Amino acid sequence: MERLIAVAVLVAAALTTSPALAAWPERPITMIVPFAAGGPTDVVARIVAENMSRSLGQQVVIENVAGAGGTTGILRAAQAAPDGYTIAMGHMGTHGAAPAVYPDLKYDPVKDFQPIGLAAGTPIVIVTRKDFPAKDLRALVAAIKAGGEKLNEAHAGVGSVSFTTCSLFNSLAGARPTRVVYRGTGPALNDLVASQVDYMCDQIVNLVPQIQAGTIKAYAVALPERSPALPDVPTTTEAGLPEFQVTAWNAVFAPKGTSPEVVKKLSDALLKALADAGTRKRLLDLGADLSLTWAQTPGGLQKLVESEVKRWNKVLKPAAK
Amino acid sequence: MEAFLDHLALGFTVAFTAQNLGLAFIGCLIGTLVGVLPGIGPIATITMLLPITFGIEPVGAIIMLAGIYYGAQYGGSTTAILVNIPGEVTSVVTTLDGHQMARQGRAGVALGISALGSFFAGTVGTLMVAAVAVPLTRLALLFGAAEYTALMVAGLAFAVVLARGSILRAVAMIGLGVLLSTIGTDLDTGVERMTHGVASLADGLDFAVLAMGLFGFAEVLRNLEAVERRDVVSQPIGRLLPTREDLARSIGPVLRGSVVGAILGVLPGNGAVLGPFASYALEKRLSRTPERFGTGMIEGVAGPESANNAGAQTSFVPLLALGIPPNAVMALMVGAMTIHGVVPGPLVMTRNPSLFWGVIASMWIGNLMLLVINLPLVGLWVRFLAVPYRLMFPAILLFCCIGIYSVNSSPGDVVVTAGLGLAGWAASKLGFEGAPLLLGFVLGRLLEENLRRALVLSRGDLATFVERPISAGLLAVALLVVVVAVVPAIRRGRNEVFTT
Amino acid sequence: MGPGMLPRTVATGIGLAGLAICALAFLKDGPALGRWPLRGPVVVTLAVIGFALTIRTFGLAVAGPLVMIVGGAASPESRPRELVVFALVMTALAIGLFRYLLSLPIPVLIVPGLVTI
Repeated sequence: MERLIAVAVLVAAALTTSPALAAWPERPITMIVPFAAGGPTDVVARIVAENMSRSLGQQVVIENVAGAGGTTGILRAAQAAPDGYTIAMGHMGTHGAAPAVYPDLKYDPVKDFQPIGLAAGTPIVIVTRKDFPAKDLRALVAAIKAGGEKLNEAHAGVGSVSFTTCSLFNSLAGARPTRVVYRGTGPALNDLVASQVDYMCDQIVNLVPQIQAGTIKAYAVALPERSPALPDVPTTTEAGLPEFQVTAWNAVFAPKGTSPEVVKKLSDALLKALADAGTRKRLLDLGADLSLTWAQTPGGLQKLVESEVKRWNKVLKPAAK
Repeated sequence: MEAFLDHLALGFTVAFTAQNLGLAFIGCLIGTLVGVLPGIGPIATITMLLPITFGIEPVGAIIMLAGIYYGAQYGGSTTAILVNIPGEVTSVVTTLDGHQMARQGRAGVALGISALGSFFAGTVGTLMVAAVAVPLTRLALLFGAAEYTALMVAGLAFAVVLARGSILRAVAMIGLGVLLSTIGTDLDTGVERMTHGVASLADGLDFAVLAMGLFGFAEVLRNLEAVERRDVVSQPIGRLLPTREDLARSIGPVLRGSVVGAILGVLPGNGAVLGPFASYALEKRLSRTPERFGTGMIEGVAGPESANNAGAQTSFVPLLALGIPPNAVMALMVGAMTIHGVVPGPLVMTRNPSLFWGVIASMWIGNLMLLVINLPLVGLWVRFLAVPYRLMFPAILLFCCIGIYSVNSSPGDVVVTAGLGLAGWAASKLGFEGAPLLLGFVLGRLLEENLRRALVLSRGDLATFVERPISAGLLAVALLVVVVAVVPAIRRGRNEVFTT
Repeated sequence: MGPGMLPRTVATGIGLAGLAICALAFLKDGPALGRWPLRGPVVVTLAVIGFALTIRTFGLAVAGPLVMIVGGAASPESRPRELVVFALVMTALAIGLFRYLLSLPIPVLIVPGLVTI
């Protein structure tokens, strides 16, 4: 038995080179996605990771560690060894809204991470049931404000993108609707299509097919310019609510203390992926927003995280029940 | 009708290319494998295989992933029958009579009838998707929070019928299941409930963790106790295929199970999980010997297995026709389709007819393949039972541990499962069964969510449940089911009711 | 109607059912209580906890044989030599199946500072 183990250890050691001096990366890199597979963040991570694998010469493996609005997976990444072999795809919730939503959050989005760069954002769209009478966003805001508690807003759980972004929308519109919770966007969308609820805010990816089919009505998209996926839907600026600027962004983070050389290599690989025509096309086809180029570098992302934490703290703290 | 045939013809042209046939076969094979392995469900597998499908065109990729999904439904019953571990929510019911059949040396028959029933139900389900997918979506939209609440209440009523021994104990176990389902972060307020600060409980108990603790580990502990209980091994292997009599007894249950499962599968609120339970309750009700259910009745395997597979097919309806995923696997399928540039929605059918009908046609082909894969495997599986138990149970422990760990890459889950195993063992020694608890657990979460949502939407008015016709109808069914189950039991006298 | 509504109601119901079951136990004799041999439960639980403690620190190559060999000792019929060989073979199979065939992210073998597979 002992001999067997000894032999196994020797063989394994012979197969892998000594890690101390070898050039990073010499084995697959794990990218933690803090949500279940198939969601918008997971899709972005998989597309970006595929290209990064090619330029890093090692597979970037996605590990889905879902739970507690993404904070479970991000906490694991924060506590991982800063050797560059564990990185994470954080997003607006885990690195922006989380401190305001979870009072006993066990990590600090600003201090516990080495930012690598922003990957892609997903624009937010304001939608209602198809028979909602308001003709444009201004009328919608007025109707929602006047309707008060009589109106139902659907969201996908405290801390979810639809919850946080609609909290912002409600506070800007001065609305106090009844907020109806669903387990995920799918069921919420089902009830919106069936006209059981009045309105919601969500990521464009989830909504485009329904908007195109006319089963729900879109009022505005929170982008500087109109989205190619929905050319008929005005931006929030055009529609008269310019303060509503928000994207569900996804960005790559490494644990604090990762060496500068590794950070440089990761950052270069990410930038290369975002410059690659094929990768860009796949992301844009999903309705992703790649316009925030300033945040694609480690320094830029650091600034984005700092401002986002501040902003959501302001929006969500008074809204917290 | 002509349009329907044209569509099917288009579907079969797409599905019958060599590449797509090959992909369907690979999907079915992998699905069967992960279905058999406890814990590793279709969700984990589809996640892992997503990157591999990047290089394939969308139709082929979805055909393969769909194959994994319904392949897992076939495979899940194998573990339920052979070692009494329900690999999937939908195979909980199969453990009741299926495993008893295995103990009597009729494992081959149970596996055979489940494969045949599943194939028939798959055909019915596929035809239903093809013929009435569009009108069915209207049914899906009729179901709001109040209707789902009523449906779940009806489901809990079925759970009472499921009980073999004391009804009081079964009700207590159902309640415990509902209670366990409320562990974790409250969806509405974000407050943690009953987690006692344990991080792996923050998102609630996972079904795999609970099922493997209460069934996998507890079963091992039960079997270790007494030599005579391990009759699985001592029985001769027996027939591999069902006899004519078995088939005759199964025809009715298979037909009814297919219809029940297919209808429930259409509901986007994960109605498919109810199918097998409803079918079992129905068969037990119709049987002339209801008291023998739970002792290895072939009807108790044939009906639920058919319902399970019919539901697996029709649960594609909300996804393909409405663009709304009814459960976690379907949500993953949305992700897969999105990665391939096809975003599911109400327009898929008109914009991508070859994808829509190709996937549907491939479902039927996949079911045929699964029959061909599974029937010969029956002999192989049955032979596993000849492995001495002293070797079998360490292997079960290993596979359960890996399965649980892989759900969330969390060692904490493994420890929780060990604790649940102890609890399950103690409960079964005191005459409490695990199946009602699992059903309570599965339905409890949906029940609470929909109940609270219905009350939020009605602004706290309970009348919403009786004012809405579908909800009222379902509640009436629930009441009827309970009365019919309890009254004869009470008439038989309290001695029989309250003791096992 | 808050987060505690349903759990509290259900818990009360279970409590009442428990009291009823207890009360009935005094009214009528049930089947005799069986023995409660503890070897199986204790050994199996320890083995599974061992797996949980080693899977992330040493990998499946250590955790797999551990759970099978320690767990296997729960049966009075176990034969040590056979069990060890079987455990190693099954672990190797499991590694091939889960890590390489299904490509699940399960650590195979970790020797700190030396090997990470």
